[in-house]
Amino acid sequence: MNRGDPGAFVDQAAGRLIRPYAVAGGRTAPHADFHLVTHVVATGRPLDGLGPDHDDILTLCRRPISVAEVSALSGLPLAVTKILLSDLLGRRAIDTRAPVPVFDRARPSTDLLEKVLDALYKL
Amino acid sequence: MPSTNSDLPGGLKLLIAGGFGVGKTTLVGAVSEIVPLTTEATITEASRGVDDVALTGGKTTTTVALDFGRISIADEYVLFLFGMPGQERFWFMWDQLCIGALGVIVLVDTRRIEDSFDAVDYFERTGIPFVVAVNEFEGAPYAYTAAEVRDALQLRAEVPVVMCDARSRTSAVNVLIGLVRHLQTADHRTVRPAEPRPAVHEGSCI
Repeated sequence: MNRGDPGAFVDQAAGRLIRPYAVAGGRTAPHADFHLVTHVVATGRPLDGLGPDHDDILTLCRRPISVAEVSALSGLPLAVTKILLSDLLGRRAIDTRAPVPVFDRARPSTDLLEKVLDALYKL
Repeated sequence: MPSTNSDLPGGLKLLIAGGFGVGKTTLVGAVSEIVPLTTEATITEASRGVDDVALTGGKTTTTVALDFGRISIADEYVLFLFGMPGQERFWFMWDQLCIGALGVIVLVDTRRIEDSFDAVDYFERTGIPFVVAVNEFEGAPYAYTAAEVRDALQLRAEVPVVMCDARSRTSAVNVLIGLVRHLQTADHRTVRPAEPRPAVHEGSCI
């Protein structure tokens, strides 16, 4: 099996041949705090030797993208996605932006809600 | 917390709750700029953020598929809409999904209005602002009015009720506008789910 070819780990009928915890190297917790709507983007710093799943995820991060989308598009469970992303963050291969803290001051900011409304009216 | 790159868009979250088959994913698809995606969240029910067994396949682990879509807000923000699993056995994850959410749409099918009781109850208790959207299914024996739905759900006066067709983009957008308008005036002083910084591991932080 060629480790560099992610297709080698997927069987059409059975799906992934590798258990999620194996992809994550046995770890169950990411080092950093990633949420569903945390955004990530590749910094351009090269990665070597982390493996095909990390490479796939980094490719998805070429444009700004949310953690939920990385998980959905890579086909990896959310938990595994977060662990791999925290590896990438550890190598400074990605930058992140935490979700907007909407309730910092008890209610969402007027300015924020106006912008959301404007965008909705344009749909 | 990871460093924050302010060149990246800020993520915002809206939730859509409602019984099984009520049209949550249809509503997401009607307004989303992408075809709805699915992420597989693994939640540890018994531990609720205390345990670390989320990936080990233990008996306390549940896998939940979350459907979601997105709407770009200028270049500054991205609004994500998540369909919340409606079945009773997934309620334990609502607390986690609700953290940081702007608000909630409770989607109601008048043929099975009782499916919405618990969602309404939950959001009233937690103080998260919500609107009730009535998905008007074709073939429903009787078209209920907003007032009848309000009465049946015993909603507080300030909770908006919007009639909609979850398949229609215009109608779905109208529901979102109704929610954001409600957010502008809603009383946010009520109790919210503990605002805890979610623990760093899966099972507590989705």
